[in-house]
Amino acid sequence: MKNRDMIDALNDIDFDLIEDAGRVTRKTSMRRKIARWSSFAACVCLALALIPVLFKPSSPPEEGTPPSSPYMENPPVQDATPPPYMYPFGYDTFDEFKNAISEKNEKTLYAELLEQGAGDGRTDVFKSFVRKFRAQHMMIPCIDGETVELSNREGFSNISFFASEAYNLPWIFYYPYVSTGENFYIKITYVPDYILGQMENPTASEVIRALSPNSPNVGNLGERYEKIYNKTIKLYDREVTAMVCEYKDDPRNSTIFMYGDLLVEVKGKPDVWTAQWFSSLSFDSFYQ
Amino acid sequence: MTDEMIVELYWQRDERAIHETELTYGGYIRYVAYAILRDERDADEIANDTYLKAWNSIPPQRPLPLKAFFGRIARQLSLNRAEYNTAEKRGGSQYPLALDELLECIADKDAAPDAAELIALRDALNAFLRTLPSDARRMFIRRYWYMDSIADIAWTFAASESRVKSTLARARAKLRKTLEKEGFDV
Repeated sequence: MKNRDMIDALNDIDFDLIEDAGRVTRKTSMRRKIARWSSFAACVCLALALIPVLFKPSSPPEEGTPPSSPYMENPPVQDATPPPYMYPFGYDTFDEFKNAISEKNEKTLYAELLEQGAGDGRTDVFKSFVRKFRAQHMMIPCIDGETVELSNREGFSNISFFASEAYNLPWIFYYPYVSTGENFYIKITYVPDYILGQMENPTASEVIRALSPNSPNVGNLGERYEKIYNKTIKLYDREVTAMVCEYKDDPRNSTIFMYGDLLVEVKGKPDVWTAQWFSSLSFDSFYQ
Repeated sequence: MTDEMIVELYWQRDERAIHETELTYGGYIRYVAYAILRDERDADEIANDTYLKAWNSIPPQRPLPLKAFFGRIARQLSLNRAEYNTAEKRGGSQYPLALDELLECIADKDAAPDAAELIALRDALNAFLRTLPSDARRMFIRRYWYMDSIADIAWTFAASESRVKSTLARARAKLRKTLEKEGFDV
């Protein structure tokens, strides 16, 4: 038997073992855990110290009245805590974007992120995202199978690349050309493998629940939403179960769906971006 | 699209099968190939070869789950390419290093094993892997299935490189003993 036979035999080991090992995402070392908990403990101490100052009653409560507890009415939702804001990278053309994420130039992006205070963890997530995106040759929106035309609004980037946005994931925002000038966008991210590995053909609602159990979803409206529901939508090359979010104070809807391993959100007015428009939408690699 | 639907497209000889495979498993296939070959162009070629091989083997096969099927094809093709690249002194693949490490587990003889021997080896590997503690098992598979570098594994497991090396060395020693007990020539 030759050594290569061992490597070949490993090829056929049980798939659950391969999946299990492939799902491991970066673990947190004990030192980092201690540092994280120390910061958390410090924040709690500070918050406790500030409570009597910030919430000092203007007049003493009447006897027998239970003290009010504003915290218990609206307990903080951990997942809703926004990540620290980092300026997105902006590009006007797909070629410019392609050049920025190329193997040659990617280091500049990571250096900028670190400068913005992203930290190693966020930068590492961003790195894996960039490499996966590059390996798939930049997935971009297409209309009727053709690359979408970008917006070209003076002073605004046509493509914004956020290192950390919704659900603490990197997102790419594409701003297609809109004759009405509406702030319409299509944004995409990759669902992490450890989430996809747990589910078979998940819907956007299921993925979001796994990513962030407390975030608004079907059956959990939150404060900003009028309605959230699932709806079957026909795209150019497939049908998807989309999670549609109608806002209380925004005429635009968010239509969120899975496309392969992409999580996609289309935000626009439902009377403009109709079922007919969705039936022309697909995603494909920018360069083959 | 479900795995069953993609398989059906292959059976109908519908070329959308390739497109759907690319969308659903393209990233995974390239990940497996890139880990072994460390070259994006090679990984792209492996992805295309994987689709071709799948096209030629379905039908008659109906492999499920497809992720396992494509992962194995991509790995096998990548290993072949890595062997060629190593002979040509190309690329920064982890393949020759991983191969060297496994030298201590089995005797490197010229005699080619028969099919029964390979099946017995696969079964012994499965049984051995299930006896390892979870982190050691994952590190072992990341090193010898995915061909991740020691530095990458250390990063993933938030461990030092020396800890990864010693965990792998202990696992290999245990594998050697297991194979010896099973009657393999070590």
